[in-house]
Amino acid sequence: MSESRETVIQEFIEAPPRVSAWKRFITVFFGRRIVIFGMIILIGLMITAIFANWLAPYDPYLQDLDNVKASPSTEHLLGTDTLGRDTLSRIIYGSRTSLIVGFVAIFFAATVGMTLGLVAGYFGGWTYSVIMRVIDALMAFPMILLALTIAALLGGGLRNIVIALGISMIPPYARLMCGQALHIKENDYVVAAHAIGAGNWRVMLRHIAPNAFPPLIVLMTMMIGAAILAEAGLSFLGIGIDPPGAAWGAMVSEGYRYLLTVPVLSFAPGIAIMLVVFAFNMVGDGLRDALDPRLRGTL
Amino acid sequence: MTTYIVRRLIQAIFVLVLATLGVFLIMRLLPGDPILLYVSQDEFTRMTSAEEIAALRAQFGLDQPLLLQYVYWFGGIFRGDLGESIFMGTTVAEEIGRALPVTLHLGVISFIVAHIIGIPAGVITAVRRGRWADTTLTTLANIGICAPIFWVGILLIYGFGLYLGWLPIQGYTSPFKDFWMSTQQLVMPAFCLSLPHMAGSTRQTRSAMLEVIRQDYIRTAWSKGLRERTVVMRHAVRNGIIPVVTLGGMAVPRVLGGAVLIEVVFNIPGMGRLAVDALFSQDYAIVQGVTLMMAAVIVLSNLLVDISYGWIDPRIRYQ
Repeated sequence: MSESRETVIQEFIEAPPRVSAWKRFITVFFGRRIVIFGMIILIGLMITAIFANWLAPYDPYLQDLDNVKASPSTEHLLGTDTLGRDTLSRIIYGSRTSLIVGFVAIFFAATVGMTLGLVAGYFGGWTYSVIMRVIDALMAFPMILLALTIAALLGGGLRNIVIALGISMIPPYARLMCGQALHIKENDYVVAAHAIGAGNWRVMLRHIAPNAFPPLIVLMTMMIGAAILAEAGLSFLGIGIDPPGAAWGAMVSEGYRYLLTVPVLSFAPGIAIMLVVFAFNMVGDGLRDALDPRLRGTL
Repeated sequence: MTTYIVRRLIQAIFVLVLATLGVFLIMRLLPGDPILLYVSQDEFTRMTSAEEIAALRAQFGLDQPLLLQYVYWFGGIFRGDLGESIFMGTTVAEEIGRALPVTLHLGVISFIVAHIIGIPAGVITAVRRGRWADTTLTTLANIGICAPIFWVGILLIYGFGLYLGWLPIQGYTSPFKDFWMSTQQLVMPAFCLSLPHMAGSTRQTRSAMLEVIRQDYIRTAWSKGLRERTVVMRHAVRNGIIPVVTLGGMAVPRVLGGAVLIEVVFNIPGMGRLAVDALFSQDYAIVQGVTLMMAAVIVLSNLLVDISYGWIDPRIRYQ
């Protein structure tokens, strides 16, 4: 009797230590060098955006008409634009635009999309059909054209760009959440929750939504990159934040006109866009692997 | 299968009608009165009387109730009548007829380029997993997804157009008029437009192939003593490629959206630029027509994707 108890204890001691979910997440997430690289860029970017006032060598709006379209020099590391404004400072300030648009638009799209998807997937039937067909109709337009049209409808400016991008990015969230809800609501714990008298909203918010979350987090991270790209595209086409605000896409477009004389005007902001989107994508990749490796290849 | 196709078809039609309603409402909500704009465009700036404005309004059907306007417009679609451009003095159908072949040419070429480069690249990365070829191509694909295509276009224009002088930097020529010129002009825009999907399909092919390579039948093929070429080409690629090709349908909205940017960068008179120009000049009818056309193409391609999915995987038909 006592012997068998000892073996049990022995086995218990010899069993490998249980790795906590958090620890496993950290190990996998930081396991790839490229993810760490992305994380560093991202942190750097946030610091840049927050402390733009201190980091920028010049006032990004200060015009110096005696010194326009200057080539890169020690004084102006990336040269100056057509109004003599320092390009580096404008890129640093532009990071604010990109980040704000990226985060807020995705927050908007995710909130609306997830709610619609949750309701559609949970209730099924007519609710499902109506909501999902509307989402399909939204998806019938190329994202950038939809955002462009909505932005034209609302007018330019930071807030309207965010709304335009937010609306046009709803479909992926709604579809993913809907699929998740359809799948999760079949689980026994959902049936059990119903059995003890939980209402529809309680089941949706307390039982389905939290369990549907991991892939949505990954989608959100990756879509921030897409939102930043789309914002750059919109401001390249001429619909963006009000001047003299700095936006990378608009800077590329301005520089395009002087491509022969000062190519750096157009090149530099493009590199900034690419670096940021790259960072978000890599962090998204890392999150996916760490949260749910099965999603590899689908997200 | 027939039931499945019919059901999907009805869905697609429903979605398209919803989309037309959406387009119509947005266009009507857009700021600016098109008639006043039209009048102010008049070269001979003269006073236009209220009666003349009312007459113009009636001519364009803008005095009718919204619902009626929608019904007329919707009915017109089936007669090939999409309305008239307020500024260009042409019908929308004419403008689209001119722009659509251009975008189709550009779009189809970049679609093909994306797959011709993307899929083999993905196969190589999977087969040479962890080697330098994998690292290089995967990194390139990861970068390709992030690059803003309009910026890549500008880089190419600078490098190959202005600096090296190898390629024309802008414009479009019909391939039936001057095939060589047309091809030269198309190289850079088609590459830019294909870039996101090229990178995407490389990544998708890679993960699909890595999945397939682990299967038993691949080990069997190896143990039969087949050459690597045969194992990869005949056994792995054939099975791994299915999801990638089907996902190709997803590239259609991406290519059309990209065309909006690329056509502006390279000054190509296609659907994208038509839409952007019309949007900025508040030419409702054109924007309506172009977005509707694009929506139709996208809904159709989604329908084809769904049907091919149902054909490949019978389980989907019963969901």
